Amino acid sequence: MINDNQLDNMLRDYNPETGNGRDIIADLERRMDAVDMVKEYQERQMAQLRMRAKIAFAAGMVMGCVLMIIAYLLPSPIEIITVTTGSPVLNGLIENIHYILGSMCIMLMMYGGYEITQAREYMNQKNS
Amino acid sequence: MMTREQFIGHVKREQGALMRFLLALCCGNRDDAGDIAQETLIKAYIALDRYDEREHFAAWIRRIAYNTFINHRKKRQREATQPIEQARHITGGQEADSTFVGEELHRALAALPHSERTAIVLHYIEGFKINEITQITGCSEAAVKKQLQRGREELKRRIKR
Repeated sequence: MINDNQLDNMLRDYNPETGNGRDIIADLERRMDAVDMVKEYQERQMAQLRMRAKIAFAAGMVMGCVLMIIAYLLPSPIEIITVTTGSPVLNGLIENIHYILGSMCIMLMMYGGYEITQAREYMNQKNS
Repeated sequence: MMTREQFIGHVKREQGALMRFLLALCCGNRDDAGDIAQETLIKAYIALDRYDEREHFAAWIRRIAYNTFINHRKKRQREATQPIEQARHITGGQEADSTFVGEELHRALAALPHSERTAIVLHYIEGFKINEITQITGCSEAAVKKQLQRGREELKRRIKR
């Protein structure tokens, strides 16, 4: 058994040969190059996703708004039916045109939202 | 964020101390210490954007090294449970470096639980303060103090002069 001083000296003097530092750095730089390559690829992917999400969102908003305006600017469905056609299928569609156009707007906006969610999910995965 | 060149600069300054820390944790096993050092440095590089520059780089890199060491140890334990037939094919780099004069210290360190060994190495060899050790290992201050006390007693008992 040794005393406190001897142990302190032993621990203080602990200085093993730690090898060639250049090899460690060279190996590290090689690995870092590989990491940089992967990071660069991920960045490109992210930029593409972000752009797609922005375009989808903008398109959804614009189309949605335009369709909404058109829907309310159209003449009354009853007038169209009496003037244009006697077909019962077409009549049904025209009678419900406000609902159909409204649904399309919502679908487009939802698609924009979905694209953004996907992009965010990808970003979260990347960060984790 | 730290640049690649800054990171390499820090690594150049720290690599000797990091290897010494890992050699002590691995009880002189150079192969393991080298592997863990490489893994630590590349993990640090990947996580560079999460490095808080207010934190001391040496402490940050030790924390990654410590976690990597723990994972490495768990992996080794899993390998140790594989059948003897498979274990026969494991070759090379398993023995501690017997040429090093501190082999006695390595043997004594090997007898300590890894938490005590880490606390002893960080405090007495690396010179970290107790509050810094708590940040590296995630243990409380009271736990670190106890680990240091127990570790010292065990080392004194095991090392013969």
